Amino acid sequence: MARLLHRAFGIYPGEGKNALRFIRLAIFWSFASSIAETLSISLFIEKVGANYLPISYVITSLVLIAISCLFIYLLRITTPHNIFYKVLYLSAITFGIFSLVLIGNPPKWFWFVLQISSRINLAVLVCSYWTFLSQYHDLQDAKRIYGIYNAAYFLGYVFSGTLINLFFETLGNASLFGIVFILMVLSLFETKNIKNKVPCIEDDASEGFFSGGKKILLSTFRLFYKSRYAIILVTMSLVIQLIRTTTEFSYMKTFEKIFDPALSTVDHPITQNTICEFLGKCKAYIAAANIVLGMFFYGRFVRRIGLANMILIPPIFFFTLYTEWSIYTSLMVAIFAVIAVEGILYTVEDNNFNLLINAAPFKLHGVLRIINDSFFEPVGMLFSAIFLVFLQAYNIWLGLALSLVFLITSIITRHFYPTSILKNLKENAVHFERKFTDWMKHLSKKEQKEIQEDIFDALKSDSETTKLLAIETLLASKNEKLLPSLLSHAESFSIDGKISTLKLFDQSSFADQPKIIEMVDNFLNSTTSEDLTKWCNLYLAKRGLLHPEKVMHYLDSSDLFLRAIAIITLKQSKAKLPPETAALNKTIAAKELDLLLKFEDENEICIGLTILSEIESTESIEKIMNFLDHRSLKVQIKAAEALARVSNKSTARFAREIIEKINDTSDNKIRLFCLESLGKIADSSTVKDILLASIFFRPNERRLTETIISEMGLKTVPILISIVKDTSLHDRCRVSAAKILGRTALPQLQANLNDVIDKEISRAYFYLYFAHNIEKKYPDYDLSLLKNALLTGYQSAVDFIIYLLGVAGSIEDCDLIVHSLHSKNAKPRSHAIETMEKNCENRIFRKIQPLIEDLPSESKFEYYVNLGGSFPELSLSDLLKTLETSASLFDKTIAAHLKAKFRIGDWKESLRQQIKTCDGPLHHYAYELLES
Amino acid sequence: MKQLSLIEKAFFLKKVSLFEDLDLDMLVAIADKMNQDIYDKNESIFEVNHKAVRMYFIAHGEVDLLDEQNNLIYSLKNTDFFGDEALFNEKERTYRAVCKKEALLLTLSKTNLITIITECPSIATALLSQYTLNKSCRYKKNEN
Repeated sequence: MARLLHRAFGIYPGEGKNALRFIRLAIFWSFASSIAETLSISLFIEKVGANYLPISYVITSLVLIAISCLFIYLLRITTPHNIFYKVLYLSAITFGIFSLVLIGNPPKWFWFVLQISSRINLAVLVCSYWTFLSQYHDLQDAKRIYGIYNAAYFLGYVFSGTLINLFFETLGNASLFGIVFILMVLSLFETKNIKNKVPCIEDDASEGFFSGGKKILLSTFRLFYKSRYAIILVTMSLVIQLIRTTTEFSYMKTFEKIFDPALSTVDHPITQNTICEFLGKCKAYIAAANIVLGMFFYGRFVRRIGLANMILIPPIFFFTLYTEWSIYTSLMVAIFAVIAVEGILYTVEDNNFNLLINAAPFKLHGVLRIINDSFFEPVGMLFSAIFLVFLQAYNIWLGLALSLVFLITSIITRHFYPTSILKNLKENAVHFERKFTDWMKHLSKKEQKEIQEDIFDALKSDSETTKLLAIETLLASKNEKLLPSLLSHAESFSIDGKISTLKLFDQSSFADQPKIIEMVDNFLNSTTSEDLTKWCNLYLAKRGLLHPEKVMHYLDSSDLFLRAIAIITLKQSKAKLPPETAALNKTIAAKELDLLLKFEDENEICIGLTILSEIESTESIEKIMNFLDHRSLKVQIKAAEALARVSNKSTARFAREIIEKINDTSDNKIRLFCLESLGKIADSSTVKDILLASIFFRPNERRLTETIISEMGLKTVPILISIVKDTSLHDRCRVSAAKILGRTALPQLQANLNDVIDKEISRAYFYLYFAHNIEKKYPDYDLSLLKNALLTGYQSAVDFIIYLLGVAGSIEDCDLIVHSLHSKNAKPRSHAIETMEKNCENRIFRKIQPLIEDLPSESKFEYYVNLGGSFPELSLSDLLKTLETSASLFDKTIAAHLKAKFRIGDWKESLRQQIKTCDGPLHHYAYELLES
Repeated sequence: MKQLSLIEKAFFLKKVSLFEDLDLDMLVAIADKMNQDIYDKNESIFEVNHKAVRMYFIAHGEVDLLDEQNNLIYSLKNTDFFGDEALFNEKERTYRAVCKKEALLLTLSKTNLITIITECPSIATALLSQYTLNKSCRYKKNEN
């Protein structure tokens, strides 16, 4: 029964209790507000008169505008829960007092207060309730169950109508307001109950906005200004308010014509109450339909056709309605107009809006809701009133024009929705992959200019660190025009600053520029500092600009630095020397260099390696390679750095050795330098080995791997395709191959996608199925390790699928999608799912949707079977055999461990096989197991 | 008080002990995730028992950390940071933070801090060394 209910309402198992709490809460307060609103307006008309109604509307509008500003302020200093709780609290007190006042004979002004308070109360409760709800639900939850909450809200209206119709005479006004008070108190208890029992969704992005700071309103406007999506959503919201009032006016005008008492006949008597009765009936049927639609169908429609299509339904309905209305007027058209306002807008459009808000920047969610619910309602009322005063005779044409604008704004919203969702996801991503120049490219010209000014300001800073960073930044921008200004600043630096600047220039693309050489000369001529002189000489020596005669005596110096300058000068000097002198110099340099490298002291070796890194020759590389395995890590790093400097395409024969070094080391710097070196070698035959080595890489190492392979060009495509397809390889290696293909050969990847994805989906379900069932099947065995291995395999398969779909769907940042799906924060998770839905084939998305949503495993299996999938019946022994053939080392190790532990079948023989075929940790472990 | 541009934020971060070893590209990536809040003199940044979801870096101004009885725990100035402890122990704030004078604070969310630590483990090490400065044994109560 419970399962049937879950399926009928679209609620996931385990979610029922919490959903029920929110439903109860919605019924309580909507029941209360609806009683208050209905009674207050009828009492106002009875005691004051309908003529004064516009005055009450104007006051209500103005107060609501003020309240919406207050609401924005409150969101800054407190949580949506506190706001909702306080609104309920104030409502309870207010209606409690009204109930007591109504026992007596209140004065005329009281009816104004009652009417205005009830209207304001309803608007504020609607707004604060949805803001409160969004603290507990992400976008995917909202798509399934917001419709139900909306239906619960209408159920409150149905209850209130029934209560007033049946018991008004018996209970009277005071008692009914007493019931409103009791319902508000019940709402308070339910809200407290929710706070204590339902966990909030962690959302630190919004806290950032509301945490403090006096420029909060300014930053709100800036955010609006920057978010095209928020602007169009707000515009659409205003258009909806305008069309709502215009349509209400139009159908009332049509009813007036059709139900004119002058047209009354014996068969069809028409009285002054006919419109009221007819409208009442229509609204009752529509309210019932709203409840059914919200409870059972809205969530399903959204999931089936997608929100992007759902948002077109209301404008198309209105546009069709007004097109027909502009041709002829009939009762049926007017009834459709009532359906449009009371049904389509309340059920479909309101729910759509609640979902669409999720795609706006996180920091604007609360504000957008307030604008829609508390600000635009009165503003819309005011504007449409003005329009209708001047265009009363053309109300249908006004409606047609508004429906057209509604349709256009919906189409634009639909267009911006997926990009806005992805943009929100990116808010959560830290873009380590971007270089400074990439950041600059993302900025407007004005912003780039401002940044440049900021950098030059930083050059005047007191802090040497800031100055150097500013120089590094300017050099990274590779803008030659900035060089003169940069050099003039460098002149004023301290000795240490000048040395650091020289190092930065040495690494930059301007290193050989005459202006810089001139600056170095100036430094040399004007300084008395020994350190600066050494660095200047080194700079010039590296560029062959020192004469050997000037530095020959340095060879006998005890200062390593000076000896290095001398050796480099002898090797590289561009001075015009007789050929035999130049040859002699080179021989001396080579001997001195060998001497340096033979020393035990790591500093001397490092200086030697620095010199080698200046000489691009096979001989240098051979010498450098010897130091990659040196016992000192400092030397290894220096050797790798030197290697990265001197490698080129002609040094391909060292590629395998470099890959071996990558496999042997875990040092980040060595790996990065080695990868840089492999990038320069650019040998496509090493692609597979590089990718196999990348399994245990850190994120920055993996990024560099992908960059160097993609720079190798299209010749790597066949090998990359084969790696993506090869299930015997580790998932990480296949993911990297897929990501590179996404950059270099997307059509080829897409052509091979379906087969791979289908296999991986089956693999994911396989892992998940056995992770959840194997312990139940063998209760006497301790299989917790196996379960963990299977769950890890499942996660790895899912990640692989997401990466592949992301890359094939041209999602620029598929790492971001995977990270978001693993996030503890439910909102980015739901946005990642939404992005996947927008970017991959519907057939595939339906298969993976249960895998990435927070569904109980049983429901996932059921879903898979419904899609035509099946699960094999495997014994423990069969399962372990399957894991033995997996690409994952973890799977293989667990299989070996459990086979040995439970003495399953020919476990000794399979361990011997593992020893023969595997190396590394598994080889050793299998050996240990056999020995034990 | 003028807010900082992306590059100014990056330059500022280079002066913060946690990030001093990072290169320009890393600093800009982190700076991009930093929100800016301007607080008036005597304005509270957070109170005891507030939920903690972000940490703060002082770009300009001074901040006092106070206990529940408003006793001064520590005064912080430019390039200091605070509010990070509760992000890791997942508890509510155990002290107040109040601006001594008008201040510009850069804030980093918990989610982003964790991501940054995953990418640059050196930041975690720097944080650990800060935590252990006043502790000879982590099982002992605070020594200061």
